[in-house]
Amino acid sequence: MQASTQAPSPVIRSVVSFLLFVHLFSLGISWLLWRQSSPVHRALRRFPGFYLQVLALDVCPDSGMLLDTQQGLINNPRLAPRAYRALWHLTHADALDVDHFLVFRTSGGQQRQWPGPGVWPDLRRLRYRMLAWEMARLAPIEDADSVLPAAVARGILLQHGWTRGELECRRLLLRSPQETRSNDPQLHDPYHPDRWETVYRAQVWLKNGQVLLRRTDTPEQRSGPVRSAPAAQAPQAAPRPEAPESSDQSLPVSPSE
Amino acid sequence: MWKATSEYLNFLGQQTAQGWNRFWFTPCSPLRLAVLRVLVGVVSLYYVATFWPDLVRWFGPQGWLVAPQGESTLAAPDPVGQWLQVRFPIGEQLWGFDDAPTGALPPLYRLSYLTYLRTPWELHTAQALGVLVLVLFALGWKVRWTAPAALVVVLSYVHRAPMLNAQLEPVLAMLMFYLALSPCGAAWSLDWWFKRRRAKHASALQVLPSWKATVPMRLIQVHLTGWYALTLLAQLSGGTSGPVWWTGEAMWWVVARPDSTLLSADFLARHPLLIDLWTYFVVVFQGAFVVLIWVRPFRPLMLAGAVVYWLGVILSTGLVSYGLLMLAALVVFVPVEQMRTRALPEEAPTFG
Repeated sequence: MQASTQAPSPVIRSVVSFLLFVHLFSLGISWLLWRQSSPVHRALRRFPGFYLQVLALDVCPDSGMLLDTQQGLINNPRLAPRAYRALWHLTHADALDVDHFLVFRTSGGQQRQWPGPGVWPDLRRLRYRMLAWEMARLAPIEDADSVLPAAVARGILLQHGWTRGELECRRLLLRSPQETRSNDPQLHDPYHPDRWETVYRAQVWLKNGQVLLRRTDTPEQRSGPVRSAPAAQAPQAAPRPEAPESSDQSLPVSPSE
Repeated sequence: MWKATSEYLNFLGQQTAQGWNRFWFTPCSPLRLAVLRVLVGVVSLYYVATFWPDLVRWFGPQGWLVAPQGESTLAAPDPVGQWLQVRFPIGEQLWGFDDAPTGALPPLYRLSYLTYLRTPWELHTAQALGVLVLVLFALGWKVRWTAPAALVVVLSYVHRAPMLNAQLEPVLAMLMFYLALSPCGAAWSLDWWFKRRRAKHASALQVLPSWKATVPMRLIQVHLTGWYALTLLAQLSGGTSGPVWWTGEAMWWVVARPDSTLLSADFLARHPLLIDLWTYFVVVFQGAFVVLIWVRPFRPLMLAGAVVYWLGVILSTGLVSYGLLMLAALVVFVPVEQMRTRALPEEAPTFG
């Protein structure tokens, strides 16, 4: 492609300047005004919605800047996940800033975990972790017919030819520096069974081609601290109307996939 | 008084217009964009190719994230569409649909050709074609056509399963979009190589500066700077565990994730001062980059700092692809004179 040293004509320059202004304005709106809710802000956000969505430039609209209203968001479980989808930050030491995993146990005792040690390269591992992360993010507001867990469970059951089992999303709590320095193997081990926390767990089974799902984790299990260090404050999940019986089996899993 | 005000406003308008035109339309060499095309092409190829082993598991007829087929039920759920509904539960708040019924979905424009593919054969064929397009884009063959096609391929994967997206995808989509607008095939490409073989005069090979290269390059620079600024603001705003970026402990909680990090947390646990220094380096660097990358004398310093910063991010988070892509994007800030003398072979034509 042969480029040109010629400056653009005034007409072309004007048109390009206008398009640049529209583009930068759209980006600025999506970055800065995401959480504002005045009519003017809503009208401004409506304008670039289509354009930014098509180009995937709005993937992280809910930046961590908005966490100043986090307490209010947490109190409203339907809004809480929106505060966490932000991926600008490296960490906030929050409940979601840890490694998440999916585990599936069959009634016959088989167990699979995603991602397991055999999953490589890094992007594949990351995708499984992000799926588990997303399930954890939505866990406080998932109903009994949770869409994402149901879809994943259905896929697992059909792909492996199983008829029933238990799907679990679990997170690995982090060690504090003091624990890491400790000579106590229980405190020092980053994968110690006590560090695994159940975020979401449900019995799933296939019946007449349909997947049925019954959530079995308790509200208490959904609000644990991120880390073992003192003074950790994890977001509190909204209470659920019913609390099915718990069958806590937070044992370490043997990754197999 | 009125005259002085009028003259000042006139002067201000002229200066602003001149500054705007100088910033966006001063011709520059497309060399930086050509190098960036190669690097982004490799990363995008890696991004799409790594879907291959899990393609049927994610998107197949019995996949985990099956495409919507008619009304969503538990037997045939539409996890993507309903995930988006949960993610954006109130259309009125996000998009201003005041008259939308409660719970109504706002219109979504996340287009992906993968949504329409069902069988493993269809998925694998589309995957192979997508990989082929990205290979041609990275090599620089018919870039005017392969660049937009490569953008469509990448966006299709980004939009097909947005719940799998992490930090890499928005940056990759952004860079692909701007490269598709640019003459990024003007050098370091098969197009250029074929032209070189056919040319009889060296002058025909010259890649001249162009405002068509300046606009996308400036867009990438501005967008990247905004990315750094938002990262800084997001981190300093704090989370539910307190302002870990202010107290200096944040990098510990990054490194302490055993399944993600590439570093040994044991070493850092014995050196808390190192954790503090690393945390504050991240904060100070992000803030400094936003401003000082635009100040020419500081630019080499900021680029060196960015290399250290992103290598640290790669090691601490394990986000190798994301870190490498952000490192590659720094090319747009490298002075073109440096690239010409160090990156091009001697027989290469001169660039303006």
